[in-house]
Amino acid sequence: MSTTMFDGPAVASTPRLKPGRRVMPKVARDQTRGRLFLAICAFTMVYGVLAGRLVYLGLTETDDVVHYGRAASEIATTRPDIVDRNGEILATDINTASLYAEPRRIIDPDEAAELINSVLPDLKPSELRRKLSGDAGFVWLKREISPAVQAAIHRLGIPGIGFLTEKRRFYPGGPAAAHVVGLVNVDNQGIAGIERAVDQRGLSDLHGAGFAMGRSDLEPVELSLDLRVQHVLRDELASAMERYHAVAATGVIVNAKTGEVLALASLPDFDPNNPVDANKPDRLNRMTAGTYELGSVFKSFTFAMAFDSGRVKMDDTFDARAPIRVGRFTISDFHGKHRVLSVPEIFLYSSNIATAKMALAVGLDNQRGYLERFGLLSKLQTDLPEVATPQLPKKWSDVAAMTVSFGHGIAITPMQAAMADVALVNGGILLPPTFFRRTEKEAMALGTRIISPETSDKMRYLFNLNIADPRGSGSRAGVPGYRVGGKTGTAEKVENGRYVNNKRLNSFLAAFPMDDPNYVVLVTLDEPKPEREGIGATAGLNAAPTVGAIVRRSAALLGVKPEAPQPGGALLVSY
Amino acid sequence: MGRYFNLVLLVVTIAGAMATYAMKHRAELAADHVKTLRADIAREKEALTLLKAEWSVLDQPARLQNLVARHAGFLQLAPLDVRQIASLADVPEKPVVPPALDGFTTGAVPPPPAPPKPPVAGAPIR
Repeated sequence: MSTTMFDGPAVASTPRLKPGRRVMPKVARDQTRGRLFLAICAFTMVYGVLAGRLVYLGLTETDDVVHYGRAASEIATTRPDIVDRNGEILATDINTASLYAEPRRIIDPDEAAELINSVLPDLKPSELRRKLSGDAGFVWLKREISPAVQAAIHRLGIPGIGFLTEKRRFYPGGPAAAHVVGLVNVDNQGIAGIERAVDQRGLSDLHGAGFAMGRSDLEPVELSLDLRVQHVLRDELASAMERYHAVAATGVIVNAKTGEVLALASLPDFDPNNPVDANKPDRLNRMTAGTYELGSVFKSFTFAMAFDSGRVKMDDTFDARAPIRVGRFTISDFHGKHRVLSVPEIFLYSSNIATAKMALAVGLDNQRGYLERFGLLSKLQTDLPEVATPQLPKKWSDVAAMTVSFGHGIAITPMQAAMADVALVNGGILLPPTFFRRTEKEAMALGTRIISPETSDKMRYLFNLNIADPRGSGSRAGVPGYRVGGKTGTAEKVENGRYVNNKRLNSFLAAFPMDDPNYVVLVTLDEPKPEREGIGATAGLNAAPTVGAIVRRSAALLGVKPEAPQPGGALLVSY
Repeated sequence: MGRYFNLVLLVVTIAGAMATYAMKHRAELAADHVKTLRADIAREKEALTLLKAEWSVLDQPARLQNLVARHAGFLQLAPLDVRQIASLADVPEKPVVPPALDGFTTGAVPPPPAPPKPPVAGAPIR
């Protein structure tokens, strides 16, 4: 063997040498040795590459192999969890198993039907037997069964019976935060609320590109909502709706320093787990997707612009003795005092006449400019997809300016009013509302100054006075231990182009604690009736006490410290 | 000599083959184990999300409120009153000898004489 190896190539490549010679010349031997060395090198290299490749394969992770077996539908429908600011789950994906049968492969339909019936007694035996004994290739027996039932049927070991797992979106709170969280359609695509916003923020692009495969790849979406406060708001709105026989109610609690929405409810609402009536017109999110003439709540903004422009001072007086007549319009007062009123008195008695005169003092263009800066004339920018555009007066005339000053002739979303109020009480910074977490620093970077801090101080004083003073229209919103301030609004609703006297939209716009407001609360009740015969149904009698109840129940949850104990109120200590 | 050497080589080859086979077998077993563990983890994770969802259903404020209202007679719970909130600074030092309590019982908050009025910011306007 060694001879052939040594001789063969040597003979072939050196034809000058005669065959049969035993001793190779020196040249040929060197040549052979060289070739041998080359061959060794080549083999070493090949094996080296093989060994290196082995080591490389052994060291690399092979995780992506796991994904090969997954169905495309599963990849496309996984959604991130939605949690509130404390990590409570608002929406999550759960796997549900559905039971199916392949009747062609079932050997004994009667026995199979009996066994399945022992686990699922609610299936009709006759129908089950008929389904199983057919010649169909596939038939659903029961959709969405629990894991325990699935395990029990699996244990029966019937051939031709199987499970398909489907992902389903589940909302543990049901209707608790329905309008904020929104819902998904059959294909697990967000169609409303934050679910839709999440899709618009790029989840659908991820899905399209085939990323975002497992649940672990998706960080939960953390909202600014607080589920406990959300429940308090919704619960109080529901009981107010019942007590005052209102057709609808809506409310929001906003952090006045960051613009975060802590709670938002709009009743009637829907259960996103079973959204049969989510598309009914009365289920819309009234807070952001409905526009209303908010009435006297708007006076807060007129007062703010009057102070900020310097045209009106706190110790000015306005004549509210006679109604104002402009053309065919008459502006009169609901709680008419028929005398000259000081500025705080105008606020307390909510005088339309005097407020209209204040608006004229500010001036048409000035008023419009201020409203523009308060964000009341343009569509609100927020994370929720459902946002309505405000309806403005067609022509900005003297009449329009006067009616707008007390909230008629202009329809805005309640959310806009709440955000403008945030600016009135937090020192004058208008913040865009958000449903995601935000720090005060981030918020201030986004905010714009719309009024001076001094004007904000004056507005806080008036808001607080309106509740603390027994003459104030909001005195029923007072909560012991917390300094609440706010403004009532009782607006007559328009039906067929006319204001209807007994159909009202009542609102109360409040903030607390008033010395350094942390939270703004807005509650709106649609068509409330008097609680009992003989009393009115103005906002001070229904919307204000609702806000009071909300503040009483949620202040501790929101971390607002009550004021120091009142003199005379003893502190009882147990050691 | 060469024969023995070949024999040794043969033995070494067989031993090597056996060792490789055993190693491969062990690796297969380990891979199977990894597969079952992965499946277990996936199942446990699924169970976790299910349990978490169930927990948040059970922990819903609305549900708790209903339960408290239904069992009010037994639970004897009342909403937190603002008078029950105080900071540590408001609490006086514990006296060395407890003062004689004449007619007072501790452990419960007595009903207030009248709900305190919210304070007025600034002087009233006339």
